Amino acid sequence: MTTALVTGIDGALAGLVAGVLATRPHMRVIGVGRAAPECALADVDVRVCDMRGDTLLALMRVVPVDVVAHLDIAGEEWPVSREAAGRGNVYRTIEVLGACQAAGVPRVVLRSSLMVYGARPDRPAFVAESAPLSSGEPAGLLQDYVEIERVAADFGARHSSMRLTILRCAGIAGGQIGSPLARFLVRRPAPMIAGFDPRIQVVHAYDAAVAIALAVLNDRVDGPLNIAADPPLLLSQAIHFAGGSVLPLPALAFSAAPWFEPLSTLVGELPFPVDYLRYACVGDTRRAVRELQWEMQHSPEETLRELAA
Amino acid sequence: MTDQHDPAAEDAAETLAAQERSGDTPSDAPAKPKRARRARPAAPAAPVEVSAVVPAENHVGEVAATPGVAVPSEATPAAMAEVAVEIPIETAAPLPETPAAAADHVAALRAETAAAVQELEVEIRNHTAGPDETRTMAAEVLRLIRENLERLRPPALDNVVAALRQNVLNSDYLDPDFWRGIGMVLQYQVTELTALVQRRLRGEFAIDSYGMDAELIELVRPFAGFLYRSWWRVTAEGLDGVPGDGPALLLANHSGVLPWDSAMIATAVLEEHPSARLVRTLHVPWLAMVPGAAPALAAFGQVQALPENAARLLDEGQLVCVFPEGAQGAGKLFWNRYRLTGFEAGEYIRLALRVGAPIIPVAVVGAEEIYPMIANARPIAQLLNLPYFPLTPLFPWLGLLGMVPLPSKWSIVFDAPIDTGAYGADAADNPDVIARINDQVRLRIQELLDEYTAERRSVFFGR
Repeated sequence: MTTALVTGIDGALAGLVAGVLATRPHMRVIGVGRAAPECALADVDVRVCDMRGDTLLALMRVVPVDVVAHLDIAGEEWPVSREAAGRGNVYRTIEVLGACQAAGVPRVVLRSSLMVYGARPDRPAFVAESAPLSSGEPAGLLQDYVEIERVAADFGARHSSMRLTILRCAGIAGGQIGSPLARFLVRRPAPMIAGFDPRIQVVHAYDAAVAIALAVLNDRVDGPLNIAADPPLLLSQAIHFAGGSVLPLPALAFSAAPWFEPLSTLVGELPFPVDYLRYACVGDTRRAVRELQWEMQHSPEETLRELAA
Repeated sequence: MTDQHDPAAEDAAETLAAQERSGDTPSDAPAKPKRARRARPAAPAAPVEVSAVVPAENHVGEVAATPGVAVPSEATPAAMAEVAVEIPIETAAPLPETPAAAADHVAALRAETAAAVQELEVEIRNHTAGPDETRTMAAEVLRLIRENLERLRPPALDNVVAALRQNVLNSDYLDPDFWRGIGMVLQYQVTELTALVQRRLRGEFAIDSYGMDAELIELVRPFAGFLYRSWWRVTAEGLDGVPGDGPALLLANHSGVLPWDSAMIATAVLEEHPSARLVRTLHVPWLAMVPGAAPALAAFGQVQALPENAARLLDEGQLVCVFPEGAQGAGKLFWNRYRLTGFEAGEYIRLALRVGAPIIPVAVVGAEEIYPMIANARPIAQLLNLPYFPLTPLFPWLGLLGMVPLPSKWSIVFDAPIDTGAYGADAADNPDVIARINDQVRLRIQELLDEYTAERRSVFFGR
């Protein structure tokens, strides 16, 4: 009997992961979150709590947990203003990791983003997991992921008894689950930089949930893994498939936007720094396919057409 | 590439299905007049074609009477006209039911039409009457059309054949109707092109995982072929050393300010190699920062020159082309022509050794003269963030006209491949072996360049 703890159970992706895990035999799934999920989850033991480190530790002391999937990331599924988010995601991850270490949990699965490598002109066409992370200044949610990765690397180095698996997921789309990238792709118009059309990757929410569940079930894999649907699409194609429309703007418009009201409404909130509209940040997914036996079920085009529907 | 469907075939299938559903869609309209004409071959059925059809009758006798025309002896002018209009109709009449059958059908129609056009081309070339130049030009235009046929869909295919038969076969090249016919054919191509552009604007095209767009390559192939055959009259040697499949590394000298040499190496392999392979050329990463360049380069199958990319491409068994001199080679001054500078391919040789891919030295002769670079305007280059800003006898003084490359005569020599398997498994970790192969390739390319430049008597006419 294995016990898995899924945090952020009030989110749709965590709900999917818990649902997939609960179908496995000899598997007990506990979901914790600050609110109960909207729809009831069969065979999932849902606990509503304040999600603080000591609360989780108290819970894990009572029920021994074998593996934790930390999916409580604010700003992914519904937009959070930058002030409200603060560094909450990073602090919560530190608290969860600390609680797991104190409770002697051997394995933790973390969620991260494929964009942590940063978009640069000298990035390989397919970035492997061993590549260095972005050292630029990513903002918002992406900044959180980069810091979570640093915290996790540091934590893993100091606590060698604990195995950390980090799933770097491409922009999640489809399955009625929101993500910053999905919200951008359906925009009318979605701004692009004239003269650039980078390749981007997306992944269907169901495929991402299966990948996370596989990582929870597989106790031989650790370290970072890229999760994305192949092949990558061009950004313009992705926007068209998702039902948005493309508005190419000169690069100058993006730098002038903060000072010029009509431009800033046109450019709007981007899910990533402007460089991602210029250069590709595409991950090499061969490790996930080889070691997790993960197989995508939804092609990128299918996934994006689902957004348009 | 293998996991992607063929958009052209699917489109064709859709068009066929649309034709079947409704009798008077615009795409079906041009097909109707020909049906009427089958019964009465010379009757002008469509208003546009009236002027084209009438002179056709008048000149039929001429063609048959001309000696040397490749017409079967038993074919009378009337029979020829019959054949002319029958080809598209016979094939277009039974509309297939399934998409797969439709694709086969379209392919068959295409092949048949291409054969018909080629036949016409031969006929025109063998035609003895009239001035030589116009005949060659007409034949070249037909050749261009034939190469473009790959993109045409059934209604347009029908029209091309009909228009060609009506006007070109009865060839009086001074007759305005001949040119009107050619114009009509070109007009169909423009219509096709517009449809293509509209479809692409909806994002409906397939790219491979590096961003290569096979459809776009097919689109520029006739133009590249024109540059290859007619503008630079490239002679490619040693192509049989390039493997038909599996990984291989081409190492070439770089020259000519703009990367026309990479385009011509790719064209040589695509057009003249029996397995028509696509060459993946690696370009300097900073080009990705130039607006417009990055999407275009990716669409033509080029990838940034990074060892990771080369490793992945070789692992996938692709044909990779590297210019080890980089921008330094392309931007060398005219009096340094055909002198290799900074030829450092160690990183790529290591990858080839690891995969066991053969290394093929490639010498390009002729590309140095397309833009004779007299000076490098360094301040302007720095201002524009370019590696060099060329001053040639024509550029920038003549503006855009100065960007037309001079029509020098080119030779591309693919040298005998170096078998990397012979160096053993751990050669990839031996810097000594790598340096030795690098020197060997550099000296061999230099030797070939010296040999070929010494042999040629004229830059523009070759040997």
